Amino acid sequence: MSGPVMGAMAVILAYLCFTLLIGVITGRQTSKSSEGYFLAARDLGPWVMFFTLFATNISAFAYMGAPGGAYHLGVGFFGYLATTTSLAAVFFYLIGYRTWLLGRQYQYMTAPQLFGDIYGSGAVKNVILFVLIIFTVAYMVVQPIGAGYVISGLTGGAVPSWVGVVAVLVFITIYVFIGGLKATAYADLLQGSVMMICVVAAFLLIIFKIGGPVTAANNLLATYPELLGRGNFSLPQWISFGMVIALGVPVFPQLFTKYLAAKNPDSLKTTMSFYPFAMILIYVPVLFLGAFGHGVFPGLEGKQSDSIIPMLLGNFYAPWVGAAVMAAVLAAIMSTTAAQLITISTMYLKDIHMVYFDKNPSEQKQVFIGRVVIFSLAILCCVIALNPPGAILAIVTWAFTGYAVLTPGIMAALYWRGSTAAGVVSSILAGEAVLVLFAFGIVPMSILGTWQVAVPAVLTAAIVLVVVSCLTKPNEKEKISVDQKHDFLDTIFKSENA
Amino acid sequence: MKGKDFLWGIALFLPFVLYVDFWQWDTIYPMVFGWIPWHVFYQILLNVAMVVIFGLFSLYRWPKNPFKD
Repeated sequence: MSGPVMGAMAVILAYLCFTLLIGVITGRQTSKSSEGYFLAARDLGPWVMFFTLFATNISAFAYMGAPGGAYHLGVGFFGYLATTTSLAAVFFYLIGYRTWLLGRQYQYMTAPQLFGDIYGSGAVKNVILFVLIIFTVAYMVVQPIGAGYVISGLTGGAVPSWVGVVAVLVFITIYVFIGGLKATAYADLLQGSVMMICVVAAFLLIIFKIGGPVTAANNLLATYPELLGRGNFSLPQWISFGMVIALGVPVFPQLFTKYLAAKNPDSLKTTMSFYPFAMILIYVPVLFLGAFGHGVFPGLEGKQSDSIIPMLLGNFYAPWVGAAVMAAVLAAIMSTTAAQLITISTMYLKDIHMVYFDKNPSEQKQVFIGRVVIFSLAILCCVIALNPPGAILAIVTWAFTGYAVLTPGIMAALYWRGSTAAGVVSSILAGEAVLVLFAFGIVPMSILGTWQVAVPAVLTAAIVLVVVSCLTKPNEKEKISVDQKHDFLDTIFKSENA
Repeated sequence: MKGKDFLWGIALFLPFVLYVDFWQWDTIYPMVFGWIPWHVFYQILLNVAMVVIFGLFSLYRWPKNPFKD
C-alpha cells in the first residue's frame, strides 16, 4: 500500500475515531433513563438541534448524486434540491412545534404514538408505524453502501467496499449504542460542521485549479451551455419534485424524534430560520462543481458522474486531501444512519414491544431493549448493504413519495378537529395504494407525462381524508381524545399571547 | 382569522409560489458575479428571503412557550 493511500486511510480513521469520541463522551450521562436515552432528556438546545436536523436530512446524495445530476442536467438542480428542502423548513413550525407541544404535555416519544393518541386509535398508530418502518428501514440499510464506495474510492481500491461498510457501521453503532440520541445529536454537531466546512473547502480547492468560477462558467458556456440553463427540467417535474421534498422531508420519523427532543421552542425557531441558509451553503458548491467538472472529465456516463468531486480532488491533490474533504460524505452517511437507528429502535420499543410484549418494563430494561434493537438493526444493515436485494432498492426509490403521502393526515391530526381516525387511515392507505399501483406498473407511468407519482398520490390522500372524515362520525372515545388535544393546542394558539 | 395572521400565512406560503418561476425558465443572463446564471441566483435570493421571513416569524409571531422552562 502506497504512502498517499496510507495517508488517506489515516485521515478517514482519525475522523471516525473523533466522531466516536464525541458521541461517547456527550451521550453517556443521559443514557440511564428511557427518555434520556431515546430523546436526549428532551434537552436539545438551538444549535445542537439545528446541526442535528441538518446533518440528519442531508444524506450522501447531496455529495454524490447531486453533483452527478448537475454534471448531466446542469445547475438548474439548485432550485430542484435546495429551495425545495428549504421550503420543508416551514413545517418545522407547522408540524414540529405542535408535535413538540403535544409531546411535552403528554410525554409522547414517537410519531405513531402521538398521532394514534390524538384520535385514541390503534389503527391510526399502526398504519403510520407500518409506513414509517417500511420506508425508513429500507432507506437506512442502503446508506452504508455509499460509505463503502467512498472509502474504496479514496484509497484507490486498496480498502475494499465491504471493509468501508463494516467500519462505518461499527463506529456508528458504538456511539448510538452507548449514548442514544444525545450521542447522535452531538456527533451531528461535528458532522454538520464538517459537512459545511468540507464542501466549501472542496469548492475553493477545485475552483482555483480550473481557473476560477468565471473562467469555468465561460468554458461551460462555450461547450455545454445547456448545463447553465434549465432546459433539462420541465415545469411538471419541478412542481412534482417540490411536492415530494417539501412534504416528504418534514415527516421523516427521525425528524419527529428531533422535534420531540427539543429543549424549548427556540430550538425549532433557530433551525427553521437558518435552514435555508445551510441549503445555499451546501448546494451551490456541489452543483457548480458537478457542472464545471465537465471541463476536466468530459463524457462520464450514468453513475460515473456521482464521483465527480472525489475525481476532481484526486486529479489535483494528494489522496489525503481528498480524504479530508470527503469526510463530509462519511459525515452525511453516518448522521443519517445514526438518526434512523435510534428512531427505529424507539418506535419498536414504544409502539410494538411495550404494546404487545411487555407493557411496563423498567427504565433500565427499556434502554436495554433499545440497545438490542440498535445492535440487531446494525447487523441487518451490514448484511443488506453488502448484498442489497432489488426489492430494498425499489422501496428506497419510492420512500420520499411514501412519506409525503402521510402529510395530509398528519396536518389534519394537528389542525382539523373535524378529521376522524377513519379519514386519516383511509387517506394514508389510499395514497400508498396509488403509489403501489404505479410502482408495480399496474397503472403505467406514461399516463403522468413528466409529472411524478407524488402528485396523484398526495392529492388522492388529501381528497380521501376530507371525504371520509366528512362521511364518518367519531365514536365517543375518539371525540373526547381529539377534543382534549385540540383544546390544549387552542389554549396556546388562540390565547392573547399567541 | 385575524388580519395579521392572514398576512403571516401569505408570507409563509409565498415562497412555495415563487419557487415555480416559470416566467424566467431558461434565463441565464445576467450572469451574476460572472458565473451564476440568473435563474440560479433567483433561487438563491428566494432562499435568503426564506431566512428573513422565517426569522421574522420566529421573532414576532411564534406563540409563547406555555411551559415554564
